[in-house]
Amino acid sequence: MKLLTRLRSFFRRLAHRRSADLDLDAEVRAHLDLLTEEKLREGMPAPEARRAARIELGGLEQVKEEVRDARSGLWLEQFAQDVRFGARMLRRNPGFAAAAVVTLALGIGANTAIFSVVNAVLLRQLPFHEPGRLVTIAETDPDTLQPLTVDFTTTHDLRESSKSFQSLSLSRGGNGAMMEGGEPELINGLRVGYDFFGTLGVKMALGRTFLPDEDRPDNRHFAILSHELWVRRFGADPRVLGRVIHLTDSAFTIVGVLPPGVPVQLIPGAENRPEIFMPLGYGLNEPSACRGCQHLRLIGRLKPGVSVAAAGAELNTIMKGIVREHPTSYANGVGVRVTSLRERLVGRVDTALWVLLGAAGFVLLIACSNVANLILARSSGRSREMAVRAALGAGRRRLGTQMLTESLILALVGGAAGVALAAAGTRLLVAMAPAEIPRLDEIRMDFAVLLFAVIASMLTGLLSGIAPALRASRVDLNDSLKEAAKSTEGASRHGVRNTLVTVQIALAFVLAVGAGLMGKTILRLLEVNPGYDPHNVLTLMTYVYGKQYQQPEAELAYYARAFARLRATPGVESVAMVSTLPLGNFDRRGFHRQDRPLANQSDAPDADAYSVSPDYFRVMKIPLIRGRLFDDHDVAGTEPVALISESCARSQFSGEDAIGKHIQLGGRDDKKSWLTIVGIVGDVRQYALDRPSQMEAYVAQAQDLNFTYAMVARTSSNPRGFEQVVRDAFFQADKTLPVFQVKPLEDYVASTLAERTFTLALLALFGLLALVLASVGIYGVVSYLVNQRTREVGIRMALGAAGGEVLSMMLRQGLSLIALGLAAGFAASLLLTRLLATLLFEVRPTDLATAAAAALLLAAVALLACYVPARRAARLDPLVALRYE
Amino acid sequence: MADKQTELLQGTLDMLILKALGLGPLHGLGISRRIEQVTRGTFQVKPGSLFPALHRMEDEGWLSSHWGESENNRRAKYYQLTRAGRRQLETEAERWSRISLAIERALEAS
Repeated sequence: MKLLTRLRSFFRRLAHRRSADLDLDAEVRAHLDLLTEEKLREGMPAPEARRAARIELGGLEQVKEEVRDARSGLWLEQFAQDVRFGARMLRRNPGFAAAAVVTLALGIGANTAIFSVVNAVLLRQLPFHEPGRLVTIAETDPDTLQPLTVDFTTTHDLRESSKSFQSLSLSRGGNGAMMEGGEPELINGLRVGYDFFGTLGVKMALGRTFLPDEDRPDNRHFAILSHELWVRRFGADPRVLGRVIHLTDSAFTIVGVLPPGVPVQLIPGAENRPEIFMPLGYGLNEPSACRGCQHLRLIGRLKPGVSVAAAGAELNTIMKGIVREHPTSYANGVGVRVTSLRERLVGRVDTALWVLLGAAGFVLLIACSNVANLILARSSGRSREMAVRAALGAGRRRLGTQMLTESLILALVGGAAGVALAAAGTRLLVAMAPAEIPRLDEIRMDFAVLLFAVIASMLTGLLSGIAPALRASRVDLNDSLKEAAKSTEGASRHGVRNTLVTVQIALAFVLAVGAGLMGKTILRLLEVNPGYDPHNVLTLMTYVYGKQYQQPEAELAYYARAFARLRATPGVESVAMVSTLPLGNFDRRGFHRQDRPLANQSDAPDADAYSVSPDYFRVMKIPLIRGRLFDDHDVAGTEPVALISESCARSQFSGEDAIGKHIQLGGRDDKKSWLTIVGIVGDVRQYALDRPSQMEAYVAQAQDLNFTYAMVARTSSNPRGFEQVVRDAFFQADKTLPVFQVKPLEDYVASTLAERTFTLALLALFGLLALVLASVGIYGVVSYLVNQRTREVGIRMALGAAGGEVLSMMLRQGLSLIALGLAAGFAASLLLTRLLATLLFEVRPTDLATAAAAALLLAAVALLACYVPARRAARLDPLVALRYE
Repeated sequence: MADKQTELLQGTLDMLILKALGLGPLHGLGISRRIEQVTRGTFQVKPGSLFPALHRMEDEGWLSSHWGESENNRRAKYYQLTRAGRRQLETEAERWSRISLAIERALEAS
């Protein structure tokens, strides 16, 4: 009821605001008249009566303002008034408004852009049905740093005994060359358990998933197409179901088509975007199903209410039992690791993204304090205005609210500009972000991102407005109204502004140190000798299939035909084949010595195995340490030979000569021929620049042909110029065989660095932004001090102070702020750079050299920002300065 | 200082205004003189407190206002109690007598 009457009167007044105001004015004036009349009646002379009446009234405007303050719903009216007034003030100071808006737009834009990435990659749920229950499972052993795979038989045993999972489903890569519906193309595929899509919770758009009966070694030639492949090669034909297609050498019947938008690239184990899915079709008696044949990926859907940790504990208990039953099939210390799908997919980039969001937050804080400083500087110019308004009856609260409203308007305009900036920035981020960061295609400006931007803007407005608002509400009427007020500056105002600048420098310092540490890490990584020379090397993947290639000789002849053309190409210095590229895939096999048989074969150490053509070491510039390299005589029928790496020789043959010793790679099998070590070559870093070599062994391609090969060719100039020539050479050798991923070896190096380069680039950008904003801040403060002290400087110079003394006096003031800021920043950086630790390489988070460099850079820039206004002071004409007001 | 006093007397002021208007419509100056008169000068209501209170109470629906002629044929804004205002006066009066009785007793007791 009461609320209703209040609202009614509020709206009535809102509708007739002007007349209500006039009415109030009339009422108070009438009161004044009545008062005067009263005094006259008491016998006072007219002028005195009027004066006494005025005194008793206590100020016409003040009474009116108090009435307005007392009214209900007033805040809304006042707010509208403040907004109108604020907008008018800002329009009248376009320079100030533009500076503030641009500063805030940069800050809010940077934050919104990074947040849109964080939101898409880390915060939004994975696009599967109840993704929280999806996990990946891998067998672990102390030798394997990043366990990813399992074997079929062990998985079978685990599935039999485990009670934690609703389903467990295996998969492995399975590419195939497709001739249907266009040119021959290598299609990325995945061989999956029949319940794979059920586990993920993905439904078919057309047809059905595989039946259990279609997942058998003798019955597995069925296929499910991705939406994209269905559109691209089958013209989105709905009658595609039941059609038989040929993949490489086999026929498959299409049983289903996936709906569009299934994030196939997120499926664990999928290296590229898989476009075709076939049943795994393994049986316990298959050779590749053996215990220890770990090459399959396993995903699982937990039963509702089962935690990842509980499932892990259960599987490990079961695993212990399996190992007890089959002790010779497993290495020492094997276990099972269960990882949530989310952790597996985005866990790697988690740190980098949060660090970047934090860095963007710092930039925003600096922007806030800059705007606060701008407003403060302007409010000292407006102190007379404030005083006049206070004299006319504006309350302290009202003045403070007015200032706050102005900064909120700035922040909201800045926020709007920031969102526009972020929209562009996000596109840029996605374009420059490495493919290693998953889910980038999901980035969009959604409700959460906009909400973030709005909240960030509001907070920014409050943060940058709070100090000026407090000042405005403490305005001292008497001081401000006096003309002299301009040159008497309260110490507290300096205090606020100086603190803001100190904080800015501290924040900028932390960012600079972060960027410096990342930069140093990348430099250190680039200094790492990977064991080969990736410059001017072009790579290409081949895929050999078909009846005519049943014999190894045919495949070797295919490579030889391509080599012949390439060797005749000017600019191609050398060319070779290798089964696994460094920084590409890997092929780890057991390393067995003939003279040292092991009781448990699974205890054999692992080495990275490569099948290479003779020129491989020349192309890659991997040095020969001792013995000899492979040559054209190491072919089938001659003595099988091997090369091992230095680290391998050291760890497996310490104190002995490895050359002449006999080894086997893979399972020890006396029917397989033993390889004679003929040479020792340099180590290579197979996995990443920051991961040392873990033993390598090489076999001759002509003696031991692998499934897949990559070509490496050393070129005399930029290898990108040879992409077409190389492609053509292989097509001329056989135009039915696909070749793909033609790119320089340096691209592989770049992509292993990508995550860090990305972090560095953004940190450096934010650091730069922070540096610019902070120098603008310190420039503003020192200019302001110079202006304040103009008269003093004039007196000093009139009394004989030299320009240099004035300069150093002014600089000293800036310098103390800089020093304080750097000290605070250093303390903060000691705490914060620890967060970067996992991204760093051979640099401690508390690297003093980096801190010193950052401090020097910041001090130099900040001093320059002080110098410009300080020099202005030093060049003052004392006569002008003394008259300055 | 002045603010503090107003704050302290807010409830009192409302009641005094309601009481002053209990006998019939009055303009602002009339109200403040009536209050001075009945409290024998204990309460001097300044315009800076009076007018905000009047407008607030009008918003509450306790008072209504109209322009009229003063005793000396001057235009002035007159306030009078509404029905809700009369009810409010009763409640306030009752509350006040309860409070003053309680305070009196408290003072006597010690």
